[in-house]
Amino acid sequence: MITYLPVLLRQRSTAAWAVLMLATVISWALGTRHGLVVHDAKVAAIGVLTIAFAKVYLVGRHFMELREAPRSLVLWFNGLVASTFAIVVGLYLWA
Amino acid sequence: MSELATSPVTTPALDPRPAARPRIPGETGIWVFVLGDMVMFGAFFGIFVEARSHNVALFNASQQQLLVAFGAVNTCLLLTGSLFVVWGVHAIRHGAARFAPGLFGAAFVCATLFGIDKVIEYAEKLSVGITPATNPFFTYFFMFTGVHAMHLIIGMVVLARMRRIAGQPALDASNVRAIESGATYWHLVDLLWVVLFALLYLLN
Repeated sequence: MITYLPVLLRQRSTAAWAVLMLATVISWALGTRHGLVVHDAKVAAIGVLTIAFAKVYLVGRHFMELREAPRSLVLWFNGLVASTFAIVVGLYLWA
Repeated sequence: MSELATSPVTTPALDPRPAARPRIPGETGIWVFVLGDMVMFGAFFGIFVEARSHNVALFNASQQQLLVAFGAVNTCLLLTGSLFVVWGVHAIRHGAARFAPGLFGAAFVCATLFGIDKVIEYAEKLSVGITPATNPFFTYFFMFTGVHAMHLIIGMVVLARMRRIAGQPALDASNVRAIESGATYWHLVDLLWVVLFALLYLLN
């Protein structure tokens, strides 16, 4: 396994994992407003939601392998993610 | 949707097609389920945010009683479990299948730790008298995380089966496809939690 690890670490999905972990820490800081200079609750909330749905996109593209999938499936997935994001943000801002 | 034909074979040795050609990981059926589940959870997310708008103070006060660390740690556990699954699938496709059972086993450990974390969190809430009947926030909290926990338990069964299949001496195309389908399901469990974490623990 040790010999195979360098191969795995070089995968694009491994870099995606690192970005996802970093995004989790950033959204945690945004949501609790610790250590960041975002004091406006609404801006922080939109930031949290944007990061969450960006993470969903990354999980789909790199973990679920949508980057290699037929265009129709990618459109269904991305369309669903984008429309859910728009509805959630819209309801947060205007409901 | 005509492109949505099931991908035939995924092991390079069994599939001579160029890797760049679009292909669906796993069975088409698992993707129908994934997209359907995303619609259902999308409705959950919308319902939660809409309900929150009618009682922002209550939802914010209730959220303060959650320990964000529980949700954040669980997010990291699921993301890491997903990485192990991705690595396991990669190993199977690239002539290193002997490593796959261990990698799927590592993902199973991450899932188990998530479950333990969730049980501790539920127990802590119940011990101070917080139940699904406490207020609308906690009704949604227990309902959504409970439905997600059902997904997690099914995912653990799937991971165990993936580990068993990967441990076979020789894998054929249907074995690889079954593992890909299981991997896709597991990533769905991860994906849904990512948004639940944001909505329940961070949105205020």
